[in-house]
Amino acid sequence: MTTLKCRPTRRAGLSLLALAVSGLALVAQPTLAETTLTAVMEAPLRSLDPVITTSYIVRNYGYMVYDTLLAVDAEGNVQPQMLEGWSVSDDGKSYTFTLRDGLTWHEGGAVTAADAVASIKRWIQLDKMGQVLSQFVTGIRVVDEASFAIDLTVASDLVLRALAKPSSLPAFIMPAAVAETPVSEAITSSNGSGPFRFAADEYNPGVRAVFLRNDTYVPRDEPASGLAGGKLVHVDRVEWVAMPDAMTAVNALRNGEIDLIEQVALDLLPLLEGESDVTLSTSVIRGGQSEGRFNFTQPPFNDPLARQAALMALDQTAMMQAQVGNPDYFQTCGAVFGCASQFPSDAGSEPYFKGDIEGAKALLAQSGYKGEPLVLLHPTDFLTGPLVPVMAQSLRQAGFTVDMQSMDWQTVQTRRTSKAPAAEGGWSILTTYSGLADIGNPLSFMAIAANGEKAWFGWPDFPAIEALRLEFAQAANAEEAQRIATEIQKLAMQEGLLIPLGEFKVITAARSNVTGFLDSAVPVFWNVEKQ
Amino acid sequence: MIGMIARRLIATLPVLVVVAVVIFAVLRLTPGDPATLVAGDAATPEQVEAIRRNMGLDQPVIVQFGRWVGDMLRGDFGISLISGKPVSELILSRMGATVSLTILTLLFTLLVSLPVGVLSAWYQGKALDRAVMAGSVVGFSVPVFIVAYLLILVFAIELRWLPVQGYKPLAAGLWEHLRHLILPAISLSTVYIALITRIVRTSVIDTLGEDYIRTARAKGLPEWSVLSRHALQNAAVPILTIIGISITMLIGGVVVTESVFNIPGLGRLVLDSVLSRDFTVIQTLIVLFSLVYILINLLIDISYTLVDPRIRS
Repeated sequence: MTTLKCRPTRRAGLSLLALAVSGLALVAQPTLAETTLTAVMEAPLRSLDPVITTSYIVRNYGYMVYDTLLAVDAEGNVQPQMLEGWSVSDDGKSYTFTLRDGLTWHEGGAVTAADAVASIKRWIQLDKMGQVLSQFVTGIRVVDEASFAIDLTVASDLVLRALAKPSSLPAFIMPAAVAETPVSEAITSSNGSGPFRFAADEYNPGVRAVFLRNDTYVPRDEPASGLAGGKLVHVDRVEWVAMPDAMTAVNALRNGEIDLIEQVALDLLPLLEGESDVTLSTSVIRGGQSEGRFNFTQPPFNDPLARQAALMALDQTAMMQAQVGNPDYFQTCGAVFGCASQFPSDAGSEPYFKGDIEGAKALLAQSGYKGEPLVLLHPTDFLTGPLVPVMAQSLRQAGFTVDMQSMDWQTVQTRRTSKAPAAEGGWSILTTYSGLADIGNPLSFMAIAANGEKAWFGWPDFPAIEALRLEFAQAANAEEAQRIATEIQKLAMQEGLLIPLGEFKVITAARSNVTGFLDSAVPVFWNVEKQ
Repeated sequence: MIGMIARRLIATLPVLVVVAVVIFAVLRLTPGDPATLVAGDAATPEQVEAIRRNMGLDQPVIVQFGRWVGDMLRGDFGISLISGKPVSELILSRMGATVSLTILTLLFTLLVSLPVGVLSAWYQGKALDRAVMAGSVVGFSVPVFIVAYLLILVFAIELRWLPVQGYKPLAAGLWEHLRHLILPAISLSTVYIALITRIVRTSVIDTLGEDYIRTARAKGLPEWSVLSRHALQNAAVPILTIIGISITMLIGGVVVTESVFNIPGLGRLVLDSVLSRDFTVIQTLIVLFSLVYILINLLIDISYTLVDPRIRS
């Protein structure tokens, strides 16, 4: 592009061509208000209930509009957010939380303890970590207008870790009248107390979502750190514009029509790398882990030897090259909780993910596998789509009969709920991905639960893993938590609970006049300035 | 004429009924459960079932169909299963962009293809004719998105005359409205320009060989009059037919164009709704598109009678 601009004869030719075709030699540039920040996010916003869906874009919307009681800072520490503070009873079984002054709803009225209690009661039903917490909760009660308490059966700080979890279902606080909506019904209200107000009249589902600075928001005094600290808003409006075509988004950024692309398509990065007006930033924390999952209820993967054979046959490097391409933006990793997490142990993964076909063949021969076709779901329009054919080839080389079925992601989402045999509409292996913020904890990472029918798709049933998760919930200190997480990792590898397929980074592109975009677990728009 | 229009309008009813039944059945046979999609990964089977019940998807298919048709007859097109917004509101918010894009595309198409086709016929076998024929082959061979990317590269990225993407409603000002639609309309019109130019050329060449053209020339009429009043008017029926077909094809063509140029029109709404299995939106859109198809065909039939007295009689 730069070369083209420097060659006047070519440019003149283009000008003539332009005149001939359009006859419209007008030079007006799109104009945006000085403090409007236009961003293309990873997906369009189509629904507005951040408690009912695990969709990341709805979570991101939640962080704009709502606030959380607690939050995790850049160092991974739990910090108060809507809270003035909390106290713990002498026996460690009761936590009393006090809201800070000045919290108000966008539509008016003060945030009260009753709002917080109702919100927690709705959230705890749906969130996996909340569900673990609920096993220890005996009561969530209002103490006074600004205070509430959570009573536990055991002395544990799990309640703090759960309420501060950043993703994918954070404990957003809503007005009690809204939070009392049954979990089977999506809320449509956007009345939050967060740093931005949602412009409902400008909302066009799947097209555009507009957020206005909440002038009544009282930020904390501490500097912004991770998802904690002062949420200072420096722009009047933030517009999320959905662009179905990644190339269009890149061109729009180059042309100055938008200010930021939250996740640039990696194959289009070369178009932006030479642009002087565009700044690229790489984020590990907002990156993700590609994952595979066996169906434990059906042959052949109800046999642990078949699962281990598959793990041995797979080659993470080859799969990541297919999905990401540039090795600067991915890494191989055998840790189910992620190599950049608090629990990065990859114990037990040593023999796996290196494409050891001979080893896989030997294991498969010892298993009861009789050559029955395994159904590998191939989502063609999803992030993991490109790596699935590589996975299929490795499994075929190891001796599996692979029926790779291509379909759109929505079909995968329905198909994966089927518990039928593979030949009757079921499945054997599926792939997906999770943000690193979701996988770093044995309680919040839903694919680690191994409680059979209640587990995530594939329905693994390993009581030993469940016992360790409960033990983790009650861990007395960080060392003990580390030890338990490592034990879970080993068991996960032994049983093939989850197939880590590699980790990838996220690249954000912004116009160079946009600064302050925080490298936090969730893309947020406080602290962002536009010159 | 009025009787013909009335008969044609009445004939649309069974077509719409068939369309409604087929689209409803096809959607129910398509893999993908909106309740599962809305519920997300964390939901239990009981929660998914409760969401399905809220959406009315737990009812027998025939009950769902009856309720949908009954509601439509009362002017209620339902609520989007995904966004929770009224379907009519969603469609209305997207209609303006698609209508504007379609009109501008047709305008470009007719402004270019009619004169170029006539000139090509007039200079049959000459260099101009051969260039037009070659150009038209390129026009309908190159995919719309390639044309779109090339236009964006030249006019938006390099010359910076026009925006890469987006849509502004007419309320934002006529020029602001048009400048966002020029590149999409040119991209979309290339294939139709190519197609209609060839049809115009062929029709005019056929007509130029007729006896009445020779008679007109023998009477001493100027050539422009022979071309416009005698040749083109008599060649109009096949041209009108292809224009009608093109309009109906445009409805499908806008899906790609709206995606590449980020225009929030009906094409994108169709795509989004299909991908998210938003049954209520897809059903209504398909019935709406069918109605548009039928009405366009009716208008084309009526237009035949205006240009050809033999049909009128």
